[in-house]
Amino acid sequence: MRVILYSFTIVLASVLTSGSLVAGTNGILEGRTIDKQTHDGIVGVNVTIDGMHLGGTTDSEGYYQINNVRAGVYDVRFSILGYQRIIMKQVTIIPDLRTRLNMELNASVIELNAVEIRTEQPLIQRDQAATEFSIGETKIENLPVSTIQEVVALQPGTTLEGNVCGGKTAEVVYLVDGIQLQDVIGGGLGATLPKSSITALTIYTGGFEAEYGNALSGVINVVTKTGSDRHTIGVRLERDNWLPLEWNEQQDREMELELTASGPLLPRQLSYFTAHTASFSDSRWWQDFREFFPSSISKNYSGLGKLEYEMSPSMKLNLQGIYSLHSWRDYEYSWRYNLDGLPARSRNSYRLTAGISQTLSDHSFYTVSMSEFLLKSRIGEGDKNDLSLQPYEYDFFLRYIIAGERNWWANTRQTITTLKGDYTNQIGKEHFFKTGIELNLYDIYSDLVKYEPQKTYFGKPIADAPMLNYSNTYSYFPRSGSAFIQDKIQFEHDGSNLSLGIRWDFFDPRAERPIVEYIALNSSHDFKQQVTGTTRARFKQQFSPRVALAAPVGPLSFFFLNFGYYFQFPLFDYLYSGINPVQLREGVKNVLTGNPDLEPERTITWEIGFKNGITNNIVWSVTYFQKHTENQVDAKTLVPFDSKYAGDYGFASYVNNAEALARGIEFVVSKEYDERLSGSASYAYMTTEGLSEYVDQQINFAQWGFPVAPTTFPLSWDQRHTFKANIESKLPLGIQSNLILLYNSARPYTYYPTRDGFKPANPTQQFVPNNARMQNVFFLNLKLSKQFMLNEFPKSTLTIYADGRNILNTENVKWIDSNGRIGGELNDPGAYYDPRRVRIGARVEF
Amino acid sequence: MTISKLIRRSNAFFAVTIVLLLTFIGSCKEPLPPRNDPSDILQGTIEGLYALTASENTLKVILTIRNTYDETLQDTAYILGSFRIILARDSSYHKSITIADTNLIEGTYNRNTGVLTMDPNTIIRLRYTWNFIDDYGRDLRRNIFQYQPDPNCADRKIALKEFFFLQSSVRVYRKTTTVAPPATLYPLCHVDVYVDPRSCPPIRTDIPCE
Repeated sequence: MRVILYSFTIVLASVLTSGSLVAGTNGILEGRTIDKQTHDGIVGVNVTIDGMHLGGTTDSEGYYQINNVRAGVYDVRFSILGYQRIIMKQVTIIPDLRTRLNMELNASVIELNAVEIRTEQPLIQRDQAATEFSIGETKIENLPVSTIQEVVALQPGTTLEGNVCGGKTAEVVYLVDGIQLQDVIGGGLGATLPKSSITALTIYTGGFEAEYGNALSGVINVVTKTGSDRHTIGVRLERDNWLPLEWNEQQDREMELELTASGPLLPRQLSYFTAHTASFSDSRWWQDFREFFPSSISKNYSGLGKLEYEMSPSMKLNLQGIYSLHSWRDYEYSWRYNLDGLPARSRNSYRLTAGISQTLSDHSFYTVSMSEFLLKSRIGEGDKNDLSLQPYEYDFFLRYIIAGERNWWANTRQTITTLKGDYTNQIGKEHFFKTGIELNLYDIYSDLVKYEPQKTYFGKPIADAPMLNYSNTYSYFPRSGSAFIQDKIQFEHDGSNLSLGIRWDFFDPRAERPIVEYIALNSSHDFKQQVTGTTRARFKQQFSPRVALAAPVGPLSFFFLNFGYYFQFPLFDYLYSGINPVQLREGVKNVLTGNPDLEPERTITWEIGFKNGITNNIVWSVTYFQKHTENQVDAKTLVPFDSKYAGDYGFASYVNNAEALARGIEFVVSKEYDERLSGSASYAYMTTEGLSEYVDQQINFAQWGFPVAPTTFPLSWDQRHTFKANIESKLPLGIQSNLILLYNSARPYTYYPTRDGFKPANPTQQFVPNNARMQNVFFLNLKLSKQFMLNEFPKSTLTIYADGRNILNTENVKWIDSNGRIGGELNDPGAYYDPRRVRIGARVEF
Repeated sequence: MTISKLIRRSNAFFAVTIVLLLTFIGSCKEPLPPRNDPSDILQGTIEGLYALTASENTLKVILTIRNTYDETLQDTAYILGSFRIILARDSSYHKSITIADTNLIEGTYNRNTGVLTMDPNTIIRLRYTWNFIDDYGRDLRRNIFQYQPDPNCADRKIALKEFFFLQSSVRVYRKTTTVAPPATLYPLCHVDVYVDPRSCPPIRTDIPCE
């Protein structure tokens, strides 16, 4: 009979300074076994990980190390003749963690039953010098969240829209199993994943290591599940419209169905995992949509499938496929009486990845992977020649669009082939060395037809003004790549860690750009700009050093500091739109053209912090960060004369001429490993100021004719005070409760009133962006769930849950117009964040 | 912590949770706002003007409409309405006429396209000229006005003051509501004949008559 002991054991895990062991999907389990009585190391202890067919043996001093362990939760067994066997339950391996599990064994002449001990993830990683938050699958399952972005929004230093530490949302890079899953033309995550496919989510908001590149603000690393050694199937159904519409209008008419399955195909050799989700929704605007379209307005199908083949105990082959198919229609409040005038949208992406990982020795391993990612997006249906190109029609009061269609059609495709390899070696006890290379080959195609009426700053159409033409077509094959070296040095005598890394990135746009020459006009200081031809855009490269230091200052406290150069190549649309040589020779008609010579945006960031464990399960930390970003992309007007290439009218192009500065301090307190009550709370004070907050800003100011103040201003996501809390508790009747509180102080908007929508009320008033503040925002989200055991063996469970968002139905303001009106003159309800929504669901697993 | 305390705290938490749950099913209405087009954006005033000249001896009724909306209004004119002039002491004497774009005397109106433009705070004016003959063909100069010799001029007579209600109701655009300003009471002392100012002192018609 097994004796089960539950004890809270703090296991000090030494963590790499966010250096991923295998691009953020795997970890290392290591530690030392000693005799409980003599305290001597025990040689030859077998350490095995259940379900992984991985293991190791302690050396002459009792140390062991098991590399290349996939992130997840496992039982670890310690056994050797002459000692009582021990099973450590629920050992969590999180990506980018080197989990240390020390063990004391009791000598025993006779064979005793194995002792089971439950362990928890250590609260303090004394040598963690980066700002990192890791969330496991159980936690993700219990949180009232649906998407990866919603999980990110719960972390300190982030906003609801996904800004991290004061940066733009496009400055965040998303990885799935170590390989980027980005939309390189428009920005953002390139696909959606079934929630049940995620085993761990690691969010780096600062100090990420040399192996992470092309990111300025944050790195979101998603690790997906792998096959298991027994067959499991799960089904989940969730809806927010269980009640009739007449009873409950607080819904999006949303339904989600999810299927998962995993298991062995060949015992101990070949296993599979698959998850698929189908989501349907009419959005919060269903009352208007139903006048034009049948349900469902938004359809989303996503899935993931994996095969893992263990060729030998030291070599694994894995194959992974991801698909994400999304179709929807846009909604704009001013189009609510003519919603079929807005184009239909779709976005389909696929990724196939094959990889091999091999453990070369007890201390070294390598991985090689290849992936092919395809993303196709469409705006509009049918052929682009079907567009009428006529302006749409406003109502008499110039408020609603009542007839006509938006002249917008697009067909874009991006294919990214990635080859990646890295090698990891534990050299001695002190050096954890890693190096890697990556090559990306892109095939980018975009065909866009877009004509928009000229409007004033205040949104009113300018009568008789010609339409603005944003149309363009391009096809390019750029390349990028990187190489990095990093070493984490652990000083055993005091437990401090020094991490050093350097990264080299290159980008070859493989395109031409117009040559703009500046010709002096006679003897004056004036000049004219002349387009005289085209030239090949330059090959770009960058070296980025990263340094981090973590040093303990007490048994449960440590100090850390990190510094680094980070950069990100601009989105491809800013490089290539409108510079088709044929189009240029015909005379540039586009409003805004790309610039393949754009430099990467660069950030210099440093952080300093302190962490302290108050008790075994309560820890607090304080972190100060500062981030200066330069070379931000904006637009500039170029007006060429006498140019046979560019015609006789002007155009604007993207340039690197803006910068921003973000600074802040974060306080976090966490309490874990208490079923009755656990969770965390954070407070952040942060300022974010800059010269430009979106890429078209300068050209818009020029068109509107505003005298713009030449100073930095608070950016739209500058929320000075942010407070977040997450409380988990076990209620009576076995109900699991998870409460989230999100608060941020008022964000800025631009107050620049008008009386008629065409001219400012005070023409002499200088236009200062973001010169006023909106209202504070407060959300309360709650998830309750109850699990029922349907069968003990084989284990099958039924979980019923209620997921409530904004349960107090607070009206949180999202935007205010330049006259200070929430929702503008139409009182657009979209000026508020989503009202209360409750989803009820059930999940069966067997 | 004692067991009883633990139970009490758990129950309190549970009760709070149930209350929160109950909020889920309360207040479940979420209608989208109805469309409320701006109303009463055109404000009107009506006035009278007695025109006494060598070539004219009429009462002009003028309706002034102002755009009080913050936007420029521009659309095909749909001017349709009426003027009504009513003798205050005997309402059986009245004149009603239909207003159309031909009554427009001021405003940015393109007669070729029919498009009328009213910028914010600008006006249009509609005018009718009345010859004192009512809807039944009765001439008020014979039946109603009571003339007295003009003590200042032997060549003309001035009628005793009569009051007229001036009313109007007109639609300017199809999308706007009808403009119906409050009725105006206009005093009129009709003069039987115009006399050259070189012969007699002129009669002022721009001020109320005595």
